[in-house]
Amino acid sequence: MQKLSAVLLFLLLPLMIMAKGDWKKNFVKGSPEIASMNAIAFGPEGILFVGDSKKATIHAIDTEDLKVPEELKQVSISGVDRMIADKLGSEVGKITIQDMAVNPISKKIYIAVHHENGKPFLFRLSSGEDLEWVALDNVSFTQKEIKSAVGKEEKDRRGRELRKWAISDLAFADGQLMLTGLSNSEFKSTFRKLAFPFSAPQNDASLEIYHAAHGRYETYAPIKAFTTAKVNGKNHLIAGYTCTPLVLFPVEQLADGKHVKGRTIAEMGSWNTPVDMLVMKKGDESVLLIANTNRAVMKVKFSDIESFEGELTKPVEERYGTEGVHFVNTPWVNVLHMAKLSDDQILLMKREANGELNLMSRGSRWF
Amino acid sequence: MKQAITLCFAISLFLLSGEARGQGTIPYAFSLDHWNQVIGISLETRLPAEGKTKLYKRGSKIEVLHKSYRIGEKLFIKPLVPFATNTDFELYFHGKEILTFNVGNPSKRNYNISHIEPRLDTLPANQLKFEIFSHEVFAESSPYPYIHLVDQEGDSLKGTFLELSPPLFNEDLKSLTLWMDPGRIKRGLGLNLKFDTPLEEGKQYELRISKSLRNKYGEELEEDYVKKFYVAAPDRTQPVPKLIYKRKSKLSSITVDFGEPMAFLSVRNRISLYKDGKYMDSGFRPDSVRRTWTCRNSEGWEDGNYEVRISMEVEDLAGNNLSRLFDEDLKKPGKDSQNENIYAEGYKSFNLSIKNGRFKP
Repeated sequence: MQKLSAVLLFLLLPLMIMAKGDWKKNFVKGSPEIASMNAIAFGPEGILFVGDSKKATIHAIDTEDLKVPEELKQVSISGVDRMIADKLGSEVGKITIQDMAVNPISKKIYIAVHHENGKPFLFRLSSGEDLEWVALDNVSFTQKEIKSAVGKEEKDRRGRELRKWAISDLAFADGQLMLTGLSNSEFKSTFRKLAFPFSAPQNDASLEIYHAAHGRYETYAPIKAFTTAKVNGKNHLIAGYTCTPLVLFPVEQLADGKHVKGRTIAEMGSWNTPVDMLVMKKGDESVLLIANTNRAVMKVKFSDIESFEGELTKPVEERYGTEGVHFVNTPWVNVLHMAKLSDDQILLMKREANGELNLMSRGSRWF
Repeated sequence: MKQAITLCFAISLFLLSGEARGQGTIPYAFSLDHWNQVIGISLETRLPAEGKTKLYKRGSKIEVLHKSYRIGEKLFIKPLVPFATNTDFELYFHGKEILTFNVGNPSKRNYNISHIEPRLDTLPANQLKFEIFSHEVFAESSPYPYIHLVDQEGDSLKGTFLELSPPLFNEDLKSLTLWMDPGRIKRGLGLNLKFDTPLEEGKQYELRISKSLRNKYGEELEEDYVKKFYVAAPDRTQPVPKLIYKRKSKLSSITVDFGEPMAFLSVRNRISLYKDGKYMDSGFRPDSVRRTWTCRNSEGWEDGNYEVRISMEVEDLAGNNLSRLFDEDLKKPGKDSQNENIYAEGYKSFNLSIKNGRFKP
């Protein structure tokens, strides 16, 4: 039997390799009719994934942006929001920058924008080049509707519409697309895995955490930012929530239909929402960087995460207080979005004290 | 080239149109959408049929995304989103500037705060929410920097409101619910012990809305809005609704009297009327202090069995609803909550019948 398996594996291996590389096999030409761009992330071969909460759909767009730059230039671009507003003939106050992603091949920066009239726009730029609108009316794309997303009419206990959180963050890793957001079920906070190219049914697990700032277990709040990484040799979902618990979920437990209770390893301060999360290498050490709405970018050493064995199960009494894994605040405040530019550089979209919204890259010596 | 531009008129492709000034005295026509935003301009021209147009905001080197096309001798310029208001634009054709224009702000309207709930000038010390209303659509950005509670010494009080993200706008974005921080109101919680309640009995306060609270078009309020109020003793009782029938020949109304002023948005649409088991589109209207809510039927009531249902979620000004007090001392013997008011259906029900046009309980 073992021999037979080995022979089969040998025969199927080239087919498996080809299939893995054939990412765009289901793509068609046309307009994906994107209604909103709540989160964006790059996959392989210049494919941009767009999380569209309004339509509860993931759009995979072939950007055809595959040119590797001769050198990686320092990014220093001032007034990004003003540039976008000028490009639209509009005003800064009428646009909202939803998300930012860097194409790992071309290193070009992609920015998802909503205009107040409800239209989404995608722009790209890089140092020394003009801001470019990425028209999406005639592109190669594929898409997949998310089943059981939170309904258009559903509201939270304070009456706020929940649909915008149908897709709160997304990332591509290990050949699959991972999404967080809200479902229409009783336990709303959900982690989803989608095989890519889109084919198999989606794989949903509902999530529960202990929220130390709130002093209770919660299932209704969506993960606002996440990443995946190995913690003590096992793949984990590292998730950040509003107010600001940091929670670990073993990826192997996040199977379809499972309800998974995460391990809260830190409470990083209330009245804050994490917006982006990155794992970066600094020498031999990995660090987790977290950009926030009402805090500086935080740095957590992986060695501290791995050595933290317990979990938070008691309320944090002091307002804005912190508990759990040690972290430090970097000097980067008012960072609206953050992305990985290269293995040793990050990209920050940062509001300066003079009101300018700037893009800047920072090498590993800064973190 | 500039002289080739002549006055032109509204174009039928757009919903509405108007005129505005161009460079010097050269006019052009602009077109508006339903919200009076300028979504395009048109000009009559003898320019060559073929030619590339470029559009810029004055002072910017970034070309504005737009479509341009010709129909006869008319040149149409349409950006992807409405033109910025009160902004100078420059239009180039084949590299030459042919027009500068400014669409002004035709969408500007009478943007004001219409009123704030509660309308009363005396509020309980444990007042929980304010509801701010406008006839215009608020901007979705955070309103909290523009809303302040000021004490009688003129000091702006910090940490009084619950700053939610996103803010608690209603569906049409024309009202905003503002929560006093519940952590300061509920007795015994950390914030309450440390900072006490935001409002002090016997004192006077002002809720000030700065004119910088913008609408969705980025416009400021025409003026600051100030609501002055006095603070009375805290309200630690639940509302107890009663049904009142007014008989006047065969013309009658049904009134629900809560015995105290209620939070407007918590009650609106939460009193419903059923006739013989079927929902009626009734509409209970409040009095000026929101204590009584009345359903009138000027054409007379048909005979039948009626039921008035009041949601258990309706709240008084302190957030006390029909099933519980907002702030209750659970260790106190003989709790204050009227627990007999808890109904499995989620509403309190009153039944009455009408015969020969007259109410009978």
